[in-house]
Amino acid sequence: MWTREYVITVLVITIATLTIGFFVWNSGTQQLSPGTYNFTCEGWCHGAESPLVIIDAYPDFECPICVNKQKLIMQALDIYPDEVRLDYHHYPYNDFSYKLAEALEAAGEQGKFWELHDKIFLQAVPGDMSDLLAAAEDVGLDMVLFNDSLNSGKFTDKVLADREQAISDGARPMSVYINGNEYRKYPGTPADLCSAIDEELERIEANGGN
Amino acid sequence: MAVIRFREAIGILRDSYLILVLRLFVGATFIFSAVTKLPLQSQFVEIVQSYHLLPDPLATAYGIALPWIELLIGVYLLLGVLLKPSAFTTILIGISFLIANVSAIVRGEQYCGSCFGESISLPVSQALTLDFLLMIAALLLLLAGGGKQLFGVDNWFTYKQHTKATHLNILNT
Repeated sequence: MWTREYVITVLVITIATLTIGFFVWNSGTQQLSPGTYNFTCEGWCHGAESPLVIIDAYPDFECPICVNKQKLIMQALDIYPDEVRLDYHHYPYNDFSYKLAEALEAAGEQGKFWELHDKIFLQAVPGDMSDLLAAAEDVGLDMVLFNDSLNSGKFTDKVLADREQAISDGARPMSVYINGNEYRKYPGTPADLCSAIDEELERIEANGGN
Repeated sequence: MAVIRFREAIGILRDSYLILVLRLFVGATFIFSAVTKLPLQSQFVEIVQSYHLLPDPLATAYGIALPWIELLIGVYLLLGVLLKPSAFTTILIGISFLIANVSAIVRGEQYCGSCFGESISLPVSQALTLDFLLMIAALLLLLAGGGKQLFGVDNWFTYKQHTKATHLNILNT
C-alpha cells in the first residue's frame, strides 16, 4: 500500500489539516475589550509613569507558567523603566489563589502590595496559610492588621469584583496582554518578551506616538 | 472451539459498518476536542502544568503538541488514513487522559477544565467514561485494522493495488 501516490496523499492530508489547524489556533489570539488598557493607572500599577506600553497581567498563583511570566514581566520593567508599565489584575482561578489575592490587597492597604507581590512571584508562591503568613511577615507587614483584614474577609468582595471586571474586559484567566493584544508564549524567554515590547514600541513610533 | 469463537469475533469486528461508526466516533470527538483547545492553547498548557503530573518542560511540550495530534488523528480516522497507527496513538492519548482525570478526582475537582476548552464543562466522571469509550473504540479499530473500510482512503489504495495485481495476473496467464 505504501506506494508513492499513497505517501503523497497522506502528506497532502497532513499539510491541509495542519494549515486549517493554524487558522483555528490563530483565531484564538485575543484582544482586550476597547478601553480596557488604560494609560491612566486605575488599579495596581508598577513601572513607567508615562508609559508607551502597558502590560495587563491576569495571573493565577498556582499556575507555574503565570509565575514565570510574571518574573519575565518584572525583568522587562527593569529593562524598560521609562516605557513599560505593569497593570496587575486579580483573576484567581484556583482555590487558594483567592486567598492570595486578598492577601495582596491586605498588603496594599499597608502600602506594600508590590513588596508582597515580588515576594510571592519572584521567590516562592505560598502553598498554604502558614507560608503566606511567613511571607507577609518577611516583607514587614503589620501582622495584626493583616490577619484582621484576611480573617474578616474585608477584600473578598473586591477580589470577586475584580474577577468579574476581568471577565467583562474580555480577559482570559492566566493571560498577559501587551497594549491590549494577547502575548502568547509559554511563558517564553526574556528575549521573547523584549522583542514583543520592541515590536510594540516600533509600531507606536511608526504611527507617530499612537 | 475457543479459536473459532475468537475468529468469529474478529470477523464481526471487521464489519465495515462497525469500523465506519468507530472511526466517526473517535475522529469527530478528537476533532471537536482539538478545535476547542487550539484557540486557547496557552490556557491549556497552563492547565496541564497545574496538574503537576509531568515536569514543567514536558507538560509544556504535551500541552502544545496534544491539540495538533488530536486534530491529525481525528482527520486521519474520519478519512480512513493510517488506521492502525492512528488507533494505537488514540490508545496512548486515552491512557494520558485517564491518568489526568483520575488525578483530578483525587484532587477533588468536579469538572474537567481542559477536556473541551471553554465550550463544555464536562464532569470528571463523564470525562472518564468518555476516555474508556475512546480507548475501547481505538482497541477495536486496532484489532479490525485489516478489515474492509467504507469511505476510507487506505481501503481505496488497497483496492486499487489489488485490482492492478489481478489485471497483471490475467495478463500473465
